[in-house]
Amino acid sequence: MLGITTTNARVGGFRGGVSAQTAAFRTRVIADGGTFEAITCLNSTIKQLQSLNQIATTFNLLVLADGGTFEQINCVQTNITNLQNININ
Amino acid sequence: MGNAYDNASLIVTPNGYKASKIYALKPTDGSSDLSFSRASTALRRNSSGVWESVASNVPRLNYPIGGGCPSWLFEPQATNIFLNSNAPATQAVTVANATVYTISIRGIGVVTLSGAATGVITGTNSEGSSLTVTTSSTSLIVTVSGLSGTVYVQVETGSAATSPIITAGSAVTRLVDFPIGTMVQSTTGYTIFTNVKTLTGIGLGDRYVFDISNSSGRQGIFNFSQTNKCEFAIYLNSTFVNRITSINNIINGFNKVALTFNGSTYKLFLNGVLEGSVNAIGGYPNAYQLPQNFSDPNGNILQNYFEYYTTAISDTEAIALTT
Repeated sequence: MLGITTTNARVGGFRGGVSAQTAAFRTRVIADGGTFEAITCLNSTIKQLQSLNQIATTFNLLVLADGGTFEQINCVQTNITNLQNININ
Repeated sequence: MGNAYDNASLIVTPNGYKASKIYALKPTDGSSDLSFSRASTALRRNSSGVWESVASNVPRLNYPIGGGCPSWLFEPQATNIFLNSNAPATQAVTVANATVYTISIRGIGVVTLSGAATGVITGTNSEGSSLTVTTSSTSLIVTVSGLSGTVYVQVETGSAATSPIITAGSAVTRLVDFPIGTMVQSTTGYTIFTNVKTLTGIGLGDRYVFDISNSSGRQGIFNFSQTNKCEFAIYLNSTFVNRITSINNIINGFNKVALTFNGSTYKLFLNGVLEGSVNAIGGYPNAYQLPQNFSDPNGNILQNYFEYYTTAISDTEAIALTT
C-alpha cells in the first residue's frame, strides 16, 4: 500500500510557492554543478504525487466498503487537485 | 505512512542533469542518480522552442512546441545522409536499395521525393513532418522548395524520424543515448511506473522503454510492441519466464504504465486500466536501464517519469497512478 491517510491540502507548506522538496532538489543539482530546469513542472509533479491516492483512494475505499460503486477516480482526483489549487487567504 | 511521493523509493523526473548524469528526485542523497552517456553531440528543442546543440554525454530535456513541461529525449543511433541539412538544397542522396528510410523536415518548407522513392512532405513547424519509404533504387532525389526560416532536412534509415542531425559536406551520425541507474532491491514485491511517449504505428519494431536487472542478469524488459500493445517480458536471471501483454493499445501521446509484482503475480496497468495479470516468478531488480542501448531504430522515446516502489501497490492505487 502507498499509505492511505486523510490529508490537509495545506500540509507541506508549498501552496502558491515552491515546495521544500523542489527547493532541495534544485539546490542539490546546482551544488553538484548540474543544470536545473522547469521548476514549475517539478513543483506540480511533486504536488500531484503528494496528493495522489490520499483523498481519492480513501474515498474510493470508503465507498466500496459501504457496498457502493465508485466510478471515475480520475475525475475525483482532478476535482481534488482543482480544489487544492484554490488559495484561501 | 505517506503518499505516492513519500513512498516511492526512486523518482526520476525531467528536471536536473549535467554531463554524464541525470539527477533522481528521490532518493535525495543522490545514491540512485543515473549515469548517462552519448558519445556525440545532439540537438534538443529548448524551452523557447528552438533546436539547439547539446554537448556529448549531456542528457537532453526536450520541450513541446508552444511551451509546457519538458521530457527526457532518448534516441537510438542515427545517421543523416542529407548534406548541409540546415541550409537545405535539392540533391541526389545515395541510398541502399530495398531499404526503409525516413525523410523528415523541421521548419517551413516542402520536400518532394523522386527516384528511389516518391512522396511529398510539408513542414509547418519545428516539430516537423516525415515520410517513411522503401527504396526501389539507389538514388533518391530530394527536392526542397518553399523554405522559410530555419529548416532542417533529414534522411535516415529506419521507420522513425529522430531529432535533427546537422550535416555539412558529409553524413553525420548521432550516437545512442544510454541512461542507466540503480535501485534498492526488494525481495517481497515492487512497482514500476513510467510515463512515456513513443512513435505509434502498426508494423513498427518493438520500442523498448526500460530494462531491469541485477547481478544475476536481466529480470525483465518492458516495451511497446509491433502491434501497439505494451508488454512486459518476465525474466528470472536472464531466462525468459513469461510475458504479460496489454489488451488495449497504447495511445498516440504520453502513456502512463505501471507494473506491479507481489512475489507471485505480475499485473500490468495502462492509462488507468488493469490490462492483465500473469502468475509467474521473476527476479528482483536492483538496476534499471532506460532506453536506448538497443539496436531497434524505432525506439526514440520521450520519458517524463520513472518511479519505483519497493512494494506492490494495490490495484486501486495503480489505477490512480496511471490515470
